[in-house]
Amino acid sequence: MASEKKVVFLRSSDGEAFEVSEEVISAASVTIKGMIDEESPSRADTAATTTLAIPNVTAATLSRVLHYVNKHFDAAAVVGRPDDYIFCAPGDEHPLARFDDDFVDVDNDTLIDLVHAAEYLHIKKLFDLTCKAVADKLKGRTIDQIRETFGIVNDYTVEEEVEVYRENSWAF
Amino acid sequence: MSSRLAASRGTGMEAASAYLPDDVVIEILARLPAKQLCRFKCVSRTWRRLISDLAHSDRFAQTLSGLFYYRHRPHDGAHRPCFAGLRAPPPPGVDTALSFLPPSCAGMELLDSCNGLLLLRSSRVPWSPRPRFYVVCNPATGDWVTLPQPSHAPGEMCYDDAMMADKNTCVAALGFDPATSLHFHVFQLVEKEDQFVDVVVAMEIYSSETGKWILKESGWSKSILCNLQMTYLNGFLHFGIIDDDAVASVDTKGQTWRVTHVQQRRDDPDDGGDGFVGHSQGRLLYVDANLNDDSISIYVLEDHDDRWEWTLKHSVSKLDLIQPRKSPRGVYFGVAAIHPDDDLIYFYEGERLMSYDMTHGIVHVICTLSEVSPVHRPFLPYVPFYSGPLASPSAD
Repeated sequence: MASEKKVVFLRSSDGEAFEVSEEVISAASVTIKGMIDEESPSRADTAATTTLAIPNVTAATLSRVLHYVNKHFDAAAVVGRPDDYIFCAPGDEHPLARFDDDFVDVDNDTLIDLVHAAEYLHIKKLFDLTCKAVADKLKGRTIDQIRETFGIVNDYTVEEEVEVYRENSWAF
Repeated sequence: MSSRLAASRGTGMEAASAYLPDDVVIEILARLPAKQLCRFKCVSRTWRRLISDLAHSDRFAQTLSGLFYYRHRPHDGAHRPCFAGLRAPPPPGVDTALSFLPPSCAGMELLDSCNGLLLLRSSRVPWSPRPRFYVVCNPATGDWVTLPQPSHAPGEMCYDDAMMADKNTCVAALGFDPATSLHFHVFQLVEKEDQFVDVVVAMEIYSSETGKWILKESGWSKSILCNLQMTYLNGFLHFGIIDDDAVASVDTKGQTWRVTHVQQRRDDPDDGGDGFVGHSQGRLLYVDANLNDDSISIYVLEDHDDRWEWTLKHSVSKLDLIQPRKSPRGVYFGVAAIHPDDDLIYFYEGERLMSYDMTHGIVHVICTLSEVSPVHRPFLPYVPFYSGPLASPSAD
């Protein structure tokens, strides 16, 4: 029993269940760790596995999230140096940098779903990664493109808009 | 609904997704450079409000956020600039790896950091006739500019036979103070060898306002040997002098040249020099961490009707700084940086970087930094500067 890895099942909003190592997901997600901790008194030492409902995340997104989590938080799979993100030199490449780049190279909707999921599940590294990726997508876009991408209604009056453009003209 | 990123349904975006609460929008915006943010104020009233709030939040506080330093990697002998963050999280939107610079700037030497801007010099290409050049950049906005050449090519060394230069131009510094002007200055020291020491004979000063360099012969009344500890404050470049407890200062026009002596408190006057020059809370500080002394003395420059005088501000025994306590004799205490806003001095001893709070006498070990390059001024304090583009010459 002791040698077997405990697993939990996560049930997506659309009803699909995903198996993941309890240790790995607890290290990754503050939210799920909290759920598991709450469950544990009632679990005793039975062989029953826990299924946790993740009502805010679809199967498509949850499978992506778990792919990320298994890459980043499974100690057996993580190779290389620790995450010393504050000491970065140009040219240094984190072993997972390439994976991360590919991971967020997705369309806007998928990316924003991932931001939501990372926020809800409280996976800080994934939240940072996806927020940065959204920010990178915003760079260099025109004001109209930003509004279109995010479906934002321009609520400025004509006069206000002229004024705000004038104030920030140095940035264009 | 106007305060949200509403879903744009029916425009090809299958979107229960494109709906983000304000706090997530802020997380995203906090990762953009200031210039982009100013642009995005035009998106909507809500975005303008969020961006204004962000500018006033802690995360955008423009204060000391970390130190750039050189790391020496023994396995390949390379010295590379790195960034040690002093605050968590690291400053959002700041590209401390300087990856925004074009490929032609790869491997540039980082020379100075001043109120958000960095001064770099292109690396030396052996046998290349192309002279080295300076770049000034802002890692918070990704802006950069290449400077025109001064009359003495940058980064020359006369004792290097291959270069055949008769002057040294290795030392340069940046002067930028956004509180007074968005224009910056670059100082290039012109040194000449005189009996095996390098004497500062002239100063070349670039102004981003004119887009030009001026060359001024040294106006100091004595021979000045720069100890490479320098800082820019109130329109002057100040630096320490080798073998002398004194500070040399020159203004951005090359008109006012001063040498101010720090009080001699030593029995052996030859024992002085190599003090650290920095500034805190708008005042110039001189930190004497002499290897042979048991204590570290911190002096502050006071301006009495344009008469500059150094007075002892604080003294601390090295015993109180070393943890665990051991004999301070011979222990090398390097001053890493002085906090520009707080009463804090950063020291490094061995591989440890620590802060010393002068008001409360508290020592705090921040981190261990291995492989810090053994150069004279290994740490450059960095304060992000988020607003404003790099100033360009008004003649354009």
